[in-house]
Amino acid sequence: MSREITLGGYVVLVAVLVLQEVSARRAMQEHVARRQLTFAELVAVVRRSPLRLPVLAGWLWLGWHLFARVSWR
Amino acid sequence: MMGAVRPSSGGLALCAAAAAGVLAYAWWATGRSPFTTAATVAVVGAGLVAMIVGWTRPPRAEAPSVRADAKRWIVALAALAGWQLLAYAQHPRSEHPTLSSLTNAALESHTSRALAFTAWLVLAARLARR
Repeated sequence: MSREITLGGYVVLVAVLVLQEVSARRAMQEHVARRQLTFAELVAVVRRSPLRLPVLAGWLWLGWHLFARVSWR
Repeated sequence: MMGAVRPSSGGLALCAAAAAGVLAYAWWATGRSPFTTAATVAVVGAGLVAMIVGWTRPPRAEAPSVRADAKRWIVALAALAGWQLLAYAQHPRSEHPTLSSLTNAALESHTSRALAFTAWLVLAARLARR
């Protein structure tokens, strides 16, 4: 797998996430009976679920990983 | 009809002072030498404080229930995590970048790091809010 393929995979997957959000928001505005959650609704659902604490712990780990465990040049 | 609640000038000044304080702290914290206890305490400690601040804010009004599901989100996020793991398992990193190696490149300047750290703190408080 080359760099271009790896980066291309990220671009495609992020585009899928963005399109999904756009589609969910459109369905919400049109009051479609059965639709996908928007990202904000997904986060709200997670916040009220037993996944809340693991998500908060994961968020702390992400900050530590990005801001305390990287050698800046 | 009820008028919109307008913050007092004292409230605005307090918000501005808090924002300036958070930005100043973010600048200081992201200037610590990496891989040190000081950096870990500055980052994780601030994240915990942000979460406590979010946790102690009044709970949000219950969101109206919607008939919606999360299947596509779960599939797409799992695919992204799988792709990242596939890249992580391969070397060299320059040929197989992970999301964090790409993010590190974007966070090389102190300014972008401080702004990203501030956003991370704000989101920590929002995630922790009941």
